[in-house]
Amino acid sequence: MPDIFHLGRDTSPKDGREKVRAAQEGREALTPWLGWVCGPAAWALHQGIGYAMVPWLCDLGTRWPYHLLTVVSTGLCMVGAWAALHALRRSGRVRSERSEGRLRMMALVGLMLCAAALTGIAIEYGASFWLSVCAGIDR
Amino acid sequence: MTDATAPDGTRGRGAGGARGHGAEPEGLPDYVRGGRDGLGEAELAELERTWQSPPGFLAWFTHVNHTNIGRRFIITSLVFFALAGLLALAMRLQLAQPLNDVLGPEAYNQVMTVHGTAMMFLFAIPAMEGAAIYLAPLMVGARDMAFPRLNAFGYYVYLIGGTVFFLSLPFGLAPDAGWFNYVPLSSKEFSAGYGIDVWTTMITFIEVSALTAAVELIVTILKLRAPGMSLDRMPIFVWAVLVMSFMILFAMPSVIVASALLMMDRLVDTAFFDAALGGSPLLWQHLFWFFGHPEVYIILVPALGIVTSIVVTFTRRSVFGYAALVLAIVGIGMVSFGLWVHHMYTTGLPLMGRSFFMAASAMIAIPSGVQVYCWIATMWGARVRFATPMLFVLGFFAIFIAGGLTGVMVASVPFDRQVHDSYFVVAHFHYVLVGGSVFPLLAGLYYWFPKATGRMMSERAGRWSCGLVFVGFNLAFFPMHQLGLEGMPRRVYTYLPETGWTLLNQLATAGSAILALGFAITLANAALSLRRGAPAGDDPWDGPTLEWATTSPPLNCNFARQAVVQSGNPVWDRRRAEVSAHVGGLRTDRRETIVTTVLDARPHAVQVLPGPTPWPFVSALVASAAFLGLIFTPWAYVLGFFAAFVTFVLWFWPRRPWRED
Ligand code: HEM
Ligand SMILES: [Cu+2]
Repeated sequence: MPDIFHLGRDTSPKDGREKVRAAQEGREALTPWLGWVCGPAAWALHQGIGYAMVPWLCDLGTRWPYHLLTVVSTGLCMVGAWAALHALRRSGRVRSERSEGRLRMMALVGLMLCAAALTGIAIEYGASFWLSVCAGIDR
Repeated sequence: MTDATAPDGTRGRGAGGARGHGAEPEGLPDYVRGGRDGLGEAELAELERTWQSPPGFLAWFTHVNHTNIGRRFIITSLVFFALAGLLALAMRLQLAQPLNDVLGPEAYNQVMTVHGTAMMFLFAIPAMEGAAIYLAPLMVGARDMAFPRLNAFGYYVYLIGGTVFFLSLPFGLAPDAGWFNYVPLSSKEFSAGYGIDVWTTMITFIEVSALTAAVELIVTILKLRAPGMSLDRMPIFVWAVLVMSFMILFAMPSVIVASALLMMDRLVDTAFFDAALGGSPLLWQHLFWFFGHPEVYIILVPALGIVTSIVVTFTRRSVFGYAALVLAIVGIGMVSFGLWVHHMYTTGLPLMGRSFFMAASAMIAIPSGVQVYCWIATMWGARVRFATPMLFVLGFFAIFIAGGLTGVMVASVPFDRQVHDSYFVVAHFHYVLVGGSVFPLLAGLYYWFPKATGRMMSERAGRWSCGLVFVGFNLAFFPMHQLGLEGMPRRVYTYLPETGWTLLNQLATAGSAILALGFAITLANAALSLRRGAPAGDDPWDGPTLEWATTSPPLNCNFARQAVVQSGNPVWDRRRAEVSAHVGGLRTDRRETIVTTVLDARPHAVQVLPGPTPWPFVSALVASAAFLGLIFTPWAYVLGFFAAFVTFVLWFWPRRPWRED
């Protein structure tokens, strides 16, 4: 094999029990990232689509698609927060493991990102109620 | 030695072995070796020869080591900073008197556009990239970047693009539509000459260069960290660089699209931005600012990393609220992508649409506030050493916070509609840009200069410089707030005496002269200290991160032996510990660095990095010729594509490392 990058044998633990643990750890390692992805994605969704749909809402004369959007993006945010919270709880249980610290941190930051995203969605949603959907659109 | 350090099973001429004094550190994995000087003299000499950048003028074009490339990025960006600064002085001179005639209207527009564009694209971003390229591999304890040749390619593209851009000025071919180059002003109809094409081409250069830097930095940070440096032990600066790189990755494509569409409008008569033919001028603004707003945070985020590094070292404390700081940096990165429409409040967008961005713009204050509190808490009750780097950091606090306050003001729609396109905005963005990039960069210069050169900069000159820059800056830019409120528009080449703006403009001009003097002192200080500065030693500031664990200037191979990290402050640990842990078993006869896992930094492979080569330079030349040709003919694209392809083939010709095994 053209071993250009010289990728060799894995050096992680080899005996059976440790292998299972390593695989489990790998899976667990992904959950805290969910908060990192879902929070920002939910907020981007809400802002981007919400912004783009305003002229359309004005034509439509109703806000319900916007309410729906808010519900969906809030839900996405909650999924991320839930996953992060889950990972955070679990990281508290794994006492002996050295990677406890970084798992905790990843989960914590993920959770806070979701909280920030939720705040963002909430203030955007709240602010929009002061304005009619057609304000500033001249026909 | 164990084979954990040479995962492919090669041992041969490895430099490994437990040769150190002291016992094996207990409870550590088996790739770890104890001892301070496990590497023999002959082995170190061979390692240094392997990693050497060959001397000589022609060989200069073959260098790929990250220390060489990073240094070049920084020096080049400082040269562009000086040039763009001279242009700023020319503008201030012109505005010192009403109806002055230092610069005519055409010249003023060109000077203003080149100043703004160069400061943003040729100074601020590349300077941060350069600092990241120089420091990040050292801080994570790697031997080099993940893709050294790509790194070199990115530098040459930047160098050529920047040089051509500045040369456009003496040839009278400079762009003059401002740094955000709005259509329809920049369309063929209203800007017929080559100026705008020079602008779009230069943007392409910088995009390519920034994207290459971003990709390498991400891979280096995620995969080449020293064993044991799990993500929660990574220096905050490295986190900041990681976030900056992802931001470049997400933001740059937008301006690539914008400038490509404009190029096509101008070159082959498409009509993306031509309202008369169904195009949309607002599309330009959206595309540009979707890049342009994150851009200012691309500059700011690594600066926050620099500031944190300095605060930690000069308080001799671990940073307070590590997770909160990481959250703040990631949060700033995230929120910065949702603000772009605040640059377009006066374009007649629906009010409810604007409200989204007003809300989001106010939100950026949350992560920024978290960050400021973390710094304050770190310094609280500590015995802070007020050396020059720390003084510049204090200057950053004052100025950046002032800029942040006016930022919250202009983020609100009704206020912005009053001051949009006035000098208030000029004052605001210089407070954030100079406060948020120049002050941290100067702080970083004083802080890391000893590491990069082995010599200290003069402390006395540093204090003078810091004082003058601080006073000069405020004198130059504070009056502009008032000028803006009095109605002076930005981008005017002169004004009438009856306006009553003369005195404040004179203050601003005097301030910019003081500011220039302050910069000149630092420049002279750096130049003189290179030869005459006091020898610095490895770790003059008692810093905690790995760049202080090697010699000053760093070895060709960065570290005689790659460290194994056991906390967030490895160098402080090392001082306390009897023995320090190292990676053993890497070969000395070729460029090897250890590859680790993303989260935990467990070693799992060894990467062989490429050595010096001229191909990135040749590729950059060919690609540049193609970009420049695009100013004149669309056929340059076709030709350039194939020519560049040929050079890439030669560049990627397999190296066959397995042959020597
Ligand atoms: C250090 C001393 C500096 C001085 C004295 C200075 C002065 C000026 C002046 C007089 C203008 C023109 C304002 C107008 O006519 O509307 C200007 C514009 C600008 N400056 Fe600076 N500047 C400095 C540093 C910087 C830095 C460090 C940056 C960015 C990192 C920067 C970015 C800009 C930008 C983006 C513009 C707007 C250009 C445009 O309107 O298109 N400046 N500056
Ligand atoms: Cu902005």
